[in-house]
Amino acid sequence: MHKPSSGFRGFTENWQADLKAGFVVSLVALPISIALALASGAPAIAGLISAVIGGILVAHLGGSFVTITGPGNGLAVVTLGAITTLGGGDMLAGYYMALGAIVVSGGLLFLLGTVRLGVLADLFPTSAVQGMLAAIGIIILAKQSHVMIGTLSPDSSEPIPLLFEFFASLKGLISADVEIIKVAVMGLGSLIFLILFSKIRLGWMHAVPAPLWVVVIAVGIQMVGTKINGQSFFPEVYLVNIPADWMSSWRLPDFSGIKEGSFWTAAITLTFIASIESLLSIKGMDRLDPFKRKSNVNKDLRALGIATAVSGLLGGLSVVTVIARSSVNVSNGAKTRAANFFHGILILIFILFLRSLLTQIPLPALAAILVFTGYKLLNPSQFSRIAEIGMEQLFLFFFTLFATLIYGLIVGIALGMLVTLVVQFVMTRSGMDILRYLSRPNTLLYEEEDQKFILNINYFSNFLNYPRLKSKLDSVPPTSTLIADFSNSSFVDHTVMEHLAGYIELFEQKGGSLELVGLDMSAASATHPLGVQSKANKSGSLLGGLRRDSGKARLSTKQEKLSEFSVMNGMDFTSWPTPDWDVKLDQFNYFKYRRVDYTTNLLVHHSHKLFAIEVSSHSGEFIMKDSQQLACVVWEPQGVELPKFVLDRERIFERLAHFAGSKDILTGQIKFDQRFALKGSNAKAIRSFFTKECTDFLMRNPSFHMESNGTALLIFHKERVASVQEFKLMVNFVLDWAEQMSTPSE
Amino acid sequence: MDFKATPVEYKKIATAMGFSPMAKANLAEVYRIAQKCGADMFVFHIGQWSDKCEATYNSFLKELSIPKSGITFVSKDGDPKVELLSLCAENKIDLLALGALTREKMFKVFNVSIARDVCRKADVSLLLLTNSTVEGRVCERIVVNGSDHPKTPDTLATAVWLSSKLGSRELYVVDELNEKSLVHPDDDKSQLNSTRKRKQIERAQHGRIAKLLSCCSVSKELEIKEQHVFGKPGYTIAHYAKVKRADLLIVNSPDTKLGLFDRIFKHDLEYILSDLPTNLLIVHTTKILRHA
Repeated sequence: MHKPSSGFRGFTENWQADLKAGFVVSLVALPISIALALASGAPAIAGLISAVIGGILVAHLGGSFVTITGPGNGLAVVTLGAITTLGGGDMLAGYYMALGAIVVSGGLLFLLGTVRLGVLADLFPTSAVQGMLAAIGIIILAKQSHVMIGTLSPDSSEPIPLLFEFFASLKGLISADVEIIKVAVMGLGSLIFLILFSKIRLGWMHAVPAPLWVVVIAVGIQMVGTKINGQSFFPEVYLVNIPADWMSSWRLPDFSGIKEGSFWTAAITLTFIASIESLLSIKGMDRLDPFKRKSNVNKDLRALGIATAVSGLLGGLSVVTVIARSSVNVSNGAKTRAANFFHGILILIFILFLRSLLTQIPLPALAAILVFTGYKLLNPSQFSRIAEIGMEQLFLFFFTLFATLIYGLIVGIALGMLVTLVVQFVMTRSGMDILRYLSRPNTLLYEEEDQKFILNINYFSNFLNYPRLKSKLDSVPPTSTLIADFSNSSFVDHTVMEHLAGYIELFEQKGGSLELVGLDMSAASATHPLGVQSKANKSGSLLGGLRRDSGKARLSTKQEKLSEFSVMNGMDFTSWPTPDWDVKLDQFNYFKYRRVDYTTNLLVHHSHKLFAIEVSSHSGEFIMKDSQQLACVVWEPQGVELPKFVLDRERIFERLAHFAGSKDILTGQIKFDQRFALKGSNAKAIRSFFTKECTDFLMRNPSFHMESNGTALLIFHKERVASVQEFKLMVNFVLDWAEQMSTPSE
Repeated sequence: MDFKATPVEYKKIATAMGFSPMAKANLAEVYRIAQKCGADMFVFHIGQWSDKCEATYNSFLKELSIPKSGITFVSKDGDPKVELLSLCAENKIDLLALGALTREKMFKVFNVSIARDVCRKADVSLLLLTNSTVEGRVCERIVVNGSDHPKTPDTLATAVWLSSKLGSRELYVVDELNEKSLVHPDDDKSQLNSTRKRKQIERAQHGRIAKLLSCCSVSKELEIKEQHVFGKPGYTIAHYAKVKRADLLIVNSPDTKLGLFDRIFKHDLEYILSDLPTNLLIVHTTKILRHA
């Protein structure tokens, strides 16, 4: 599948597909935009203006491809807050003042995009963000559940009392007027329909999205009922209100509050939530994009800023990127930004020509859509998923959720961050490290050979220093091989692991590969692949703890891959082999000057007597001084006379004192001798070992370092942690060699 | 800029005698280095020189079988941080070797250790030893700074000279490049541009380093590898030395003397000093710098 061209050419090539997708999206966006405007406490038209302006402007100026822009869920809560506080009770005055804040927040968003602060959204711990979004869901749900059953102005305004009050009002319905009961039945019926919609097995029903069904049915009931009754079926107050003269009644936003703190609080909150909601959506959509294009986040932020400012000036809400509508866009075959444009234009056409129809939409139906959206944001099924990652994440999630409900969005997320940090202090016992190294760079990226990058992370990696890691990850072309080595970092938090999982997916999609190494030590203490990976084991002693419960220790992703590989090749895999391996390794000169600390990931091939193992060792006086990890193969070739020798290309072995005196040996194969340095004392035995077949085989393969102690060979590739690919390459090489040796030569 | 690279050859090597747990190992290490470089060795002691000190010192020399005649010993009373450097100046020392811990204590920003304080002010080349041993290890791998700076040619030449003296096998020339010179990749197109630009810079830098190395007399035994790394200057090379498990890291001397302000807002050398990856040699060239 080739990527759609950009610019006007892309438009002319794909406009049919985009028009179709844009049309379906506009049908979904229409009721949702009106509903969100109402949830924001603004006139219905405000949401529609936001969708129209968003569609038209962002499609031209934005940097993403298949996203849809318009009024957003999170923003509804913030806007409602702004209108209530700024207006001081007067909703209309508050609305015009909030518009002023929206225009200012548009400017701030543009500024964020200009100074490339798109990365800011990544700075928040995942669980805290999830908790905040769930809180937004509860706030919407609490407020709209009342509208859904016909209570337009409930007594409380705080979300938690509102929820309790809902059940009281539900009880009160029994003795209510017929009018109210009609409304409540409409609302509750819509909600039940939305919940059951995914269970309905009629294919044709799913051609149109659920919210549209709700609106179509509700409008149908209203119109038919009105015809029969002779008067409006639902009371006027329960219908959407779009004045006929909405265009001429336009007036400038009210900037009179610009000198006050509350105005700026509103503007900054709007900017903050708008950027988080948009950036999360853009990132989510990049994964869903069928053409795997990468969005220019900062360009998109600038476009959203301009659109928000214009929308605010015209009386509309903030413009953000919304994931639900965007995913509808993709699933209907959108190819370029033009789909967003068509969606905006079509909504404009609806407002201009179908105004009378839109004013027939009953509010309880819209409220039901919002209640359902709120519930989806809360998404109780995610609780167990978060708990799997770690109970501390569940705690952080609920902590942020309640903090947000009680203290509001900004304070809520700030507290969430603070508590996340405290939890990390306690859990990983690296509190001092965090304080000490937080402000320092901790990443090193270099190109080892062409298209192969090594990224080494020092100290620790958590949400606070993630932007540095991210900028390094971004600078590597995803078509290349990248090995991220965490063996020097004491812990990696859940947020970073989750982002890394995203990058692994990205690299795979683009044909490269990203592999995480150096986490095997931490895996045993973590409960989930994406959970906090910390080397501080709960039982205190690092290795004692790991080795004791090696039977039930969890495998890291790398270990799982190695385990699969070993099964495929008829080998046995042990993640924590018994310590007697240390003795075996000591028989090689290479390990004579190094002390083996521990060994992991043992693969055994019984018939070939081949053992692949990862060794962590150190040399020098201090523990942890010059410690290194290396993957090697110990192989005892059968039926061959094995002389003592060392063979390598990069002269690692030369520094072994034992071989300092032994002489260079030439096999007589000129190319082989040029490429490798072969040393040993028994020249004759060595020459007879390195037959023409043997040297030809070695020339065909990548060069490895080899040491023979007379009975076994020690073979390894690089003096660092090996990725799974490198590990497999090495084992396959030895297996091939063993095969070749066991087949008798002519 | 001229590419004339002259190694700073060390003819007079001094160390400070303290009575820390590492004192004996440091003494052994410095003596070995002095022997290998064919340099005169000086031992300075600052403070009260008692009989007990004398006895310990003599026992050290005896255990390490260092002849007393091979060493010039000077003892002086006063503030170590000041006197050490004045003694160096008096005796025309070219290299001052000091033992150091890998990490400074967290709250030692104000009251810094002698070794680090000296290297922030020194006018001689400085060697900070973090892992000296009595038995000694071969200095296999050296990482040297190769960034584009007027002091680099001399530093590089010194590294080549020293590696031949110490019998090192591998020399990594690390060229630290500024990340800011790259376009930050926002999307697929800018990613391509950024990669192209990176390659272009690396090619140019490769040419520069090759030219520099051609001025040095590199022995056949020494394998030279070049690595271009984009990142924070100072920090990057230290991290690289740690990853490559180098035995010695050689860097340029700082352009200015470093003070408290530099310690709080860390940059360049301060990153290395705050978390020494390995032994560190700060080359102080005597060449007059011609840049602004």
